[in-house]
Amino acid sequence: MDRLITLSTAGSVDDGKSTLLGRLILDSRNLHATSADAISADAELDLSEFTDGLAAEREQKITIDVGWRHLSLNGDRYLLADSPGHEQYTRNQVTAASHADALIVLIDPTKLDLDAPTVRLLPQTYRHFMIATLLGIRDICLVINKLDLLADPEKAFVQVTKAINRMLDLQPVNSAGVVTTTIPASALKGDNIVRRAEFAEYTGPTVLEWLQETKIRVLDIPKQDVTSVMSVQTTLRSAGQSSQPFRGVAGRISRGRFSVGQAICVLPEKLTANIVSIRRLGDNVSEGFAGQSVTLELDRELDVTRGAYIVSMSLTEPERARALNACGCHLFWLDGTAGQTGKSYLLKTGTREIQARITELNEKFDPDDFSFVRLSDQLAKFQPECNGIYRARFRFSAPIWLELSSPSESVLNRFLLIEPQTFKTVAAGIFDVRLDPD
Amino acid sequence: MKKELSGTLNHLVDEAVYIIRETVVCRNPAILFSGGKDSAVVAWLARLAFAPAKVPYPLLHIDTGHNYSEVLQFRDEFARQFGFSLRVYEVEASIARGTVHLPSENASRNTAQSVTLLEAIEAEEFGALIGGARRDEEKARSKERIFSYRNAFGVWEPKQQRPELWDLYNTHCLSGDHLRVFPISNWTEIDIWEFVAAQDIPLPTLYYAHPREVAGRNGLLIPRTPLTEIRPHETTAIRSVRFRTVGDMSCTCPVESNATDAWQVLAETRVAEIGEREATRLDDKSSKYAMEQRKKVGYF
Repeated sequence: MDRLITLSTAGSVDDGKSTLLGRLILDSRNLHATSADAISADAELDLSEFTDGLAAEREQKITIDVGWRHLSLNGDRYLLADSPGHEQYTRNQVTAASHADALIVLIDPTKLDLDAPTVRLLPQTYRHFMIATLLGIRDICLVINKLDLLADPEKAFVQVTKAINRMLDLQPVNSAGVVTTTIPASALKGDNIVRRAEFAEYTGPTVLEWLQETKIRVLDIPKQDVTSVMSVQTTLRSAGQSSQPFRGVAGRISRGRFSVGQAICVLPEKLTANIVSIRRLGDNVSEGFAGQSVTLELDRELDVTRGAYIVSMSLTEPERARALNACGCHLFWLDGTAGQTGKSYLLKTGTREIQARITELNEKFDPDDFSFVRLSDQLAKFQPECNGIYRARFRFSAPIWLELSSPSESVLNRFLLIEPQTFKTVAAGIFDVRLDPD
Repeated sequence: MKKELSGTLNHLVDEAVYIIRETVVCRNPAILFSGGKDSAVVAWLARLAFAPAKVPYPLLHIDTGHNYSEVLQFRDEFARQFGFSLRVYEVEASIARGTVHLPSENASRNTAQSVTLLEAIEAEEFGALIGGARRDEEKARSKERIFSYRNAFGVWEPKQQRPELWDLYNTHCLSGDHLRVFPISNWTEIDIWEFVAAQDIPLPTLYYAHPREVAGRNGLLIPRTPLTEIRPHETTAIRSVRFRTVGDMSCTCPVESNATDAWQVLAETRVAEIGEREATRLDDKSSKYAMEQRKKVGYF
């Protein structure tokens, strides 16, 4: 089914993310004139004006927060989430990546020591790649940018490609199913962005071609053998004295499909029922699909309220999902105030909120080394800090249902952490039972 | 007659319905309703989100006193026809109260709306305002979250926005503060018109081609109204025009058009080369950051 594809960008400061997006828009002749004031005679020099929208961003010539743009290429439409490169804005980077179907990571070879025996990428590149993998982005394009600035661009391309391959080999989390593509380019000149440039032996796609192939791949992800999930947002009753009273559970189908007559299970209580009718946009339909906002009418009066999941029966098989009181996770700490182990936070999964405590903070991601480093046993010393990525363990105030495999693709396993007094969103993460001791 | 929506628009509609339904846990939500097409689409989506139940939220209109009468008639009729309760707060009342001071009597009241809006929020203790802003409208808007936090002064802090991951929205806010919720953030003007056409959503007649006396100025068509000044050297003519936005009468200009229904407007919009605020609004042009400045002090 056709849908809007979201593309995100990542890279260090000044790697040219905004320039690349500006170039994609400009060269594909789809420049929307709301951004036209940025295009002047010296457009070549400042394509970033397309995406940097805040006064502080233009002042400093950097991207601070996620900027959303529409891009239409050969009739294909994309939503672009242009995101910040600064380490201090990693939280916004995580925000953008969580929405992305595909990611472009920019690499600036002029910042690397290309004569080193083993070329290393920048810590920010390792960090962005880790974020993307943890968030389950399946299509990642690594653009080796600014090759026009190098005396020996071919050597640079070979060296950086080697460094990328080493990163893929060392990847400390499971990245099965992730498709990576490496493209030599110059965003400023427009080489291999939309217009193909002669470059050594390179025969791969331009960035635009990669994007078009990615769209096909994203829309083609096989739908068979998936269990179905819908988070209940609210219950709806027909207004007034209707002759046929209606009570339905409203929500958006996150995955799979539901059809009239199907037996379903309500979590966390594991109640069962059959679907009597499905409404979407006020009309009756026979089936509802992933992404659709629907209202399901069930054949019996169950206590189904906001926060419950409606799932296909097969999801509750013990090898697929379980109700757990505690679980390990990958944790992104996003707030300026450090987290506290032992403190109670609000935890949102699906549409449900419970309380949860961090009971263990075991490992921290080290972007210099592209690995998770064990924190010492003196737990009290450690607090999750802003922009850090951790392996931690939570205890819950009530059991929650979590899936056992492919956590990055599981809607059940994603969570937000909210500080209960300020209501700030302080962290987010993905539960992964494989991080738990056996 | 209802028509099928495209795949992309279906996706956007489902997303918007989901966002609107997430506000059920917010404190006292209301739908910002100007009588314009974006707010009509949001109110329509709210009907779809809660059907067959009634939308549990009122419409809130901040009346600048500079509206075309067609828009006010439409507002009242829309609320009546679809069973919304309607709250109207007038900038005029804020002026009388002394909380709004205008530089001149006929000055644009666009910025002044923010004051009246915050007064309405305080009076009714609204905790969430569902609005029709879109990220494609303007650069500052492109930075906006779906659930966007405002403190008690209505201040938007673009550098302090809450991280917003996946579709897990943080619906909490402190008492006295409020949320602005933007279900159609990811829509474009074309999506709006496709949806209006396919669902046959009623809109003010100003949106469709009609004869109107206008004067050309710097590529804009200035309508003759009690609030716009036709300069002595300018000549006016009756032309077939329609409005792309129906904001403050003193600063909203129509475009030349023969489109008499939503499908025709959609066709025109698809080929239009200019963003709707660029050619039709006098106020956003004052500076590159005009919108950011207004939003920081509580604007929609």
